[in-house]
Amino acid sequence: MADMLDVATREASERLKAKVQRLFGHSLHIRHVDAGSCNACESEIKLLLNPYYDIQRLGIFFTTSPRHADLLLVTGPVTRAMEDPLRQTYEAMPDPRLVVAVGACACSGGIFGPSAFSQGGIESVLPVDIFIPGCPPSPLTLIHGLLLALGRVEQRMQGGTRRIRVSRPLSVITPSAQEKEVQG
Amino acid sequence: MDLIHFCTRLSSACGSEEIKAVRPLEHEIVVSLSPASLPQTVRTLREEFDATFVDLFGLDQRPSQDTFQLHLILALDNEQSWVHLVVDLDTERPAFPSLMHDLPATDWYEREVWEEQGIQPEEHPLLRRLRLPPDWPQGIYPHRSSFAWSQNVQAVEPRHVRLEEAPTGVVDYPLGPVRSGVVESGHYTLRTVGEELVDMHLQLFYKHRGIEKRAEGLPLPLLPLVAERISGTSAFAHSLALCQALESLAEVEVPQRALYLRTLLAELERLYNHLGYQADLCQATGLVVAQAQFDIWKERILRLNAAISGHRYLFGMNVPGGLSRDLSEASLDMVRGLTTTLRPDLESLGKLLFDSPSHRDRLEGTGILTPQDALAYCAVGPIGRASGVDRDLRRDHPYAAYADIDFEVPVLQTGDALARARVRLEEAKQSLRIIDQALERLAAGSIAVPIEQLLAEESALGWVESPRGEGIHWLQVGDDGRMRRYRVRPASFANWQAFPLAVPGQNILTDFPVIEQSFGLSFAGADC
Amino acid sequence: MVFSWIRRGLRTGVLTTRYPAVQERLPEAFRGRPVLDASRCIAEQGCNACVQVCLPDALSLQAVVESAGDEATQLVLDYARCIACGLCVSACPQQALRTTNEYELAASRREDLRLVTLFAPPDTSGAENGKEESNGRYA
Repeated sequence: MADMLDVATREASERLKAKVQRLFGHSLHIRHVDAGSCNACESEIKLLLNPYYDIQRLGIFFTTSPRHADLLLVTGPVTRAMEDPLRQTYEAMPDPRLVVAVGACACSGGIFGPSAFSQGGIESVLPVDIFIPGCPPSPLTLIHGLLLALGRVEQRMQGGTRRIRVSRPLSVITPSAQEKEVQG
Repeated sequence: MDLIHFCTRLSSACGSEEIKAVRPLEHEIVVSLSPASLPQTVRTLREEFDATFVDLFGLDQRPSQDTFQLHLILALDNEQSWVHLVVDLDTERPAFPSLMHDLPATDWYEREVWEEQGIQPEEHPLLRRLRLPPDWPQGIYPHRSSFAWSQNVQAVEPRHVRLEEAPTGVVDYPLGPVRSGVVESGHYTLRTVGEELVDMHLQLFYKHRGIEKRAEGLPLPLLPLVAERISGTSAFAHSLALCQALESLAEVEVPQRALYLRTLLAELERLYNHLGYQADLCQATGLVVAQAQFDIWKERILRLNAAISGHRYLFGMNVPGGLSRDLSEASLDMVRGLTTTLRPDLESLGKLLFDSPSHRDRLEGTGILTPQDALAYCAVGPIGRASGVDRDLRRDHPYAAYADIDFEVPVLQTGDALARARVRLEEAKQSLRIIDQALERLAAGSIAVPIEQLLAEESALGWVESPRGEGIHWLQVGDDGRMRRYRVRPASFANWQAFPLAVPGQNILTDFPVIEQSFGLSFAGADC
Repeated sequence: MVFSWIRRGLRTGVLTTRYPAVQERLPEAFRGRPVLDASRCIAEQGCNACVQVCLPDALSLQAVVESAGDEATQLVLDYARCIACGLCVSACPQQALRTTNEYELAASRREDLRLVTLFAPPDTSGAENGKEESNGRYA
């Protein structure tokens, strides 16, 4: 699978691995910050500690102090009032540190997007190492994302463009395309 | 309920000629009155008609009409109706007399109307910001019709509200908005003398995302997506209230099968919330095995939700007109399977839980919310019911299939953390009872009725008993058939106002996590 | 009392998932990420039914100009925005979209969550018309 990754993805993956190798003993301490979620993501994150998932068996723990944290787990689109507290938490974390965006809101703003009330995701506030999509992402998706941050699983989502050659002439989509007649 | 008769009685009780009946809707009586008669009318409704204050919000009628409006909703439980007071306000200087003197519960609502619409509550004892963030400039009113969702609002120097300086011997503990554990963001300042909690300052609204504004201009099918995300753990309840409001507006009859399935799903949501609540409370008291046991049940219910509906939190099930998908016989069997195993386990778990001295001792007598305070601050749901407020929308204003189902509403008078925990455990048992009856009575049939275009300028009220209490939705449709104004008052917004009253008085600092978890409120719901 | 709880805990047994050592499966009904069957899609004919119902703008249609100067249509599916509501699935008149129960969705770059389907005009010079050609891989 490694040789199927394109150059850019491979480089990003190497950088992440280098960061991760500096984390001690492959265990991970996470500081979570709620930057304005609807609380479904929090509910899923809390369930990671229940007997069904038990992430502690994977060496992953939650910590209350950012000073002790290796990874900042963020939910929510970053409301105006949470921007400063979020940034301060990140700045209180020592290197090496990772940032993981949990859920559609943290990845992109979700249904909120950028607005007068929130940033439209955490990317404009912090450098993000891992994006975990979903609304909310299920605990298994969260585990995949956290282990991806540790370099212990492979990434499956690879993006890209595929071209479909259509035999008919195309009508180009413009704002007034609805009125445009489709050519033969 | 005869509208004219009601208004006549109300008019003569208030000694006022100005009360006009506006529109009798099936369960909602809309009454128009002037700002000056507002306090007396509310007082009369509460004292002589036994009405309960529910919501207060503003509406900018421009550009279609050149007025602001103040809307006040009260519940008339004994008539299974709602009284909706509409007050037209002057556009130049929109103002109304504050109701706080009679009813402390209106505090947050009046501050909100002031900051969101620029409507002045006259003689409000302490007018200051509520939802809007500290860096929001004065004079920009997001709920005015001229304000756009993506408008760029220039940040100003943040102004935070703080307690005044603590005197000698008094220590303040500021907690949050980033707090211990995987919790929602919010700030508490706990004031202590020695070990004893003497006061607290609550600062919420760090999570204000502008839900109401987000819904504006949206077409009908997309509205449930917004309602679900008010508070993800009450997604089904809030989308249900929204859909019910739209259905009453469209005057459609939701098919029987959908009503029973909605009841079943609403109770599944209540169940996983109530069981997760017990787990959180056990975490606060350190009863780790009990926490695991309740978390296991919560997980099982979420997995059941995913198997029968495609989503662990039941997102995407409610659509205006009914449900988006049916539950198969196999799904219903899974529900039966879960309730059959849960029922005896809940009995034994509950008994074991409240017999555990380490757990019980920390809950008994802790965080007492007195019945008087619960009434004054309009506490709702299991929090209100643990402090003697005997109200439950499923029984008092039945919706979905609740009118045809037998269930008890547990009410206790002690108002301490133990009472709140007991009420929720009892409600969980009642949920199982409701699910059983819904399964029994479920008949074949369609699960949705189509909704045609809604009439412009029409508005409707929707309500639900969410896991944390009474949730109220009100909406107005614009002349393009899209949402013009969406008002939500989730249960947690009401309950958080009562929370600081439970903290001082015979509680020590280490009781605080127990008090907080015993309320089990949603920050997202309050902030929305 | 303590022993009652311990007995309970022991009776429950082991429930823990062995993921990632063992692949877990979410229920078939689980509404995870949507996937597009491009052979059914008629976006290039002016259909934007899915885009209309997508509240987070995860689905979007863009007109692009290719290097040869040809105009083409691209349908973008951005999983970083997708809330897996499934409205696009029911809106599509061609049933070109379906949701999956996949859950290994995390990515280290935002671009890795962005899938583009480009409907290119017919080409007289080379590749067979009606065929798909791809420079990326889908998970």
